[in-house]
Amino acid sequence: MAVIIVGRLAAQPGGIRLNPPETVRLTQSLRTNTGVAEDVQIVYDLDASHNVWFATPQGPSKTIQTLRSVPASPQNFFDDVTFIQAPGAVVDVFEIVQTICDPACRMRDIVTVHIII
Amino acid sequence: MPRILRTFVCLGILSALIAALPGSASGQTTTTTTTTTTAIDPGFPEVTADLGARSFRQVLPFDVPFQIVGTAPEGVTKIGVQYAQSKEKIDAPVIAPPAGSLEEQCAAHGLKPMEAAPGVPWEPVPPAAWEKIGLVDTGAATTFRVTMQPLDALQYYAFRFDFKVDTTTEQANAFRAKAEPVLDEGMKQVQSGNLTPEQRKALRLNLIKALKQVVGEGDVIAPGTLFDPCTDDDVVREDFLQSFQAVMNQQRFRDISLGGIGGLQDDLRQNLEAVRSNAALDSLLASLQQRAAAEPAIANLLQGTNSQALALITMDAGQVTALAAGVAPQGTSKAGDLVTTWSPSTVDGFASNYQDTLNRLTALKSWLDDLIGPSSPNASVVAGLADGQLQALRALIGPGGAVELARQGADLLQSETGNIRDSLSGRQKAIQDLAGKYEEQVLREVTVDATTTGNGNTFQNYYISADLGFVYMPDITESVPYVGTNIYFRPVNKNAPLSQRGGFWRRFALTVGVTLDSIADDEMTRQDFSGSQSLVVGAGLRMTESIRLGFGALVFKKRDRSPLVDDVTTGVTPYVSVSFDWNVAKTFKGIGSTFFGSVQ
Repeated sequence: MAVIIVGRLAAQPGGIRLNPPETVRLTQSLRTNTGVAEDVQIVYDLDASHNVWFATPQGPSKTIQTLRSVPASPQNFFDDVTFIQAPGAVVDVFEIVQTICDPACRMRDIVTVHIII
Repeated sequence: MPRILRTFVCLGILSALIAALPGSASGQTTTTTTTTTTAIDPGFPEVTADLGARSFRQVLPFDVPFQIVGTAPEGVTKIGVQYAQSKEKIDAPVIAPPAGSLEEQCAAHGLKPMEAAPGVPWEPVPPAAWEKIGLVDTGAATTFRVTMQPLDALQYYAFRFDFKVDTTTEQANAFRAKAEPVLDEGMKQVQSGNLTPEQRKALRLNLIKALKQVVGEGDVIAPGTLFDPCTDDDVVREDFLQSFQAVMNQQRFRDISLGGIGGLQDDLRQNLEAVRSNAALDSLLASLQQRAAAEPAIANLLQGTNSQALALITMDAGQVTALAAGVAPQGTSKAGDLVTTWSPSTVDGFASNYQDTLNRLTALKSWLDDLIGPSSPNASVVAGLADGQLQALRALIGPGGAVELARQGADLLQSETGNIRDSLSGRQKAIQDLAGKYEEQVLREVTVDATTTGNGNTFQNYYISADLGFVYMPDITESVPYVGTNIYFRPVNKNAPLSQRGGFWRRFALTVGVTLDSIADDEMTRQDFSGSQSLVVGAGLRMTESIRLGFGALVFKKRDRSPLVDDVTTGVTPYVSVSFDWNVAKTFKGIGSTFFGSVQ
């Protein structure tokens, strides 16, 4: 019912090139306070206006999702996400907004990545 | 006095005057101000510049090189001086620092107007300059001294001083103090972590502006740093973005976390309200309180940490709201403060209160579990409760029960407010680190090219000197000494060598005087104009700084040779003269110095 962010979302590396596409590892520590493991959905979103997109097998996307089982004790989670350049405004920095649905989608975290030119 | 004696006296005076010529050639009427601690005569007239007042403390000298002296502002390493001259008054323009976008500032970088006014150029090019020698800094004020080429008389002048100023430690500290709030406020305005190149450049401009507020409105010279508008954007971009991220990663978490906190608080309030208004819980507590007087074991169950937990059951609606908002039981914050504050300590107050509520709810759950749980050590205490009441109580602490949900909610809020507090602390530290980094850069690499202007003029009275010499009248083949006055038609600086600053009007003067000896003849056909003096009226040219050749007319009384004619008329005879053009004021100053020491 309630997933708690123990260690905030971090991106490594904090700066990438878009051409060719580069991958960022997103790290976060979570726990649940229900006493038992919870399955939660993690959603990552990018702003619609800019030219940075997630690279997915289906093509560029502004949103990706993943499932996790969050235990009662804090656990580190990793998600490797790849970014590509696609239509949109040029930015120097973009933010990745994470929404944790447990199933209520009220917990959010955020991290920024900058573009290396 | 016999004529021959008067002639010798006159020659003696001439010799004395020549001998009394001051050895040190100071300005014509320029006040000499010594600003150095040594008594060494620099050999130039000095003009003291008051840079603060943007003026000189005296009329400027002309026709001779001179030195502008003054106190160099702190941190100044180089001063360049230029002037512009005109017969009209020049309103020395205030040099506006470059403004606008980075590109516009760069385009204007280092450019200074070539003219003070239309057709009035700044000169010399390059400017006359003074450079500080890197001796050990004793903290004493530094005197600058710039030698200038001769100015023209009767002109208005505008002066332009260009300073190269290395930032001082104090300025760097001041910049840091200024930069922190600028960065803080500037970053607060950033509503998104998606930063465009234009937004980044705007932030950089704000930093340059903050620097100028500290070091003064000048042209910042900091090659390779973000403070130099000409620094290639690519050079500073990466470093700036990393610093930006360090701040924004924290700030944006606060933003999005606060966006969901209201919903969590509502949930907590509803669940606390459900606990407070639960009939089964109320009944149990009332029953135990009744029995506590007679049964010490039960009284013990209501004491200590349990009493704090059980207070959740008896509190009023207002207390429930306060607990849910995180403003109770401790502190003076209001509910809205959590959303508006940027202070980690204020948010910490909320986190502490949620921790307290969490502890109480955890304790309440344990207390109930100990009473009605499957392995309750106090099962006998609730032995008399109806099954319905027992089930209602068990439901409270089971999954989805009000006590459990309230506990989870308090846990979530404590965690979220703790994360917000940590984010604000991290943001604060990132801004301090950023300001500290820029402070070092400012101290190490920033020089400011500041400019100020001032006005002066070379207006002085026309030069009048004494004239002492001999006139020779060829028509009467007489030679007599005379004394007179030379009237020039412009100011003349006698310290300016004629070889360098000659010209007709510096040499030419009208002469009016009287002879020192009689030109009367024995036949009485020629008598002096008054007593034993005749008038000398003419003009002359200085051949050297002090020797003048003249010509003109000597005016006397003329009597006819015929003894039958008594009429006396005014007679005139031409003369040529050689004389000493004598700067009376200066000579007396020289004589005064000889007898009474140096006169400043």
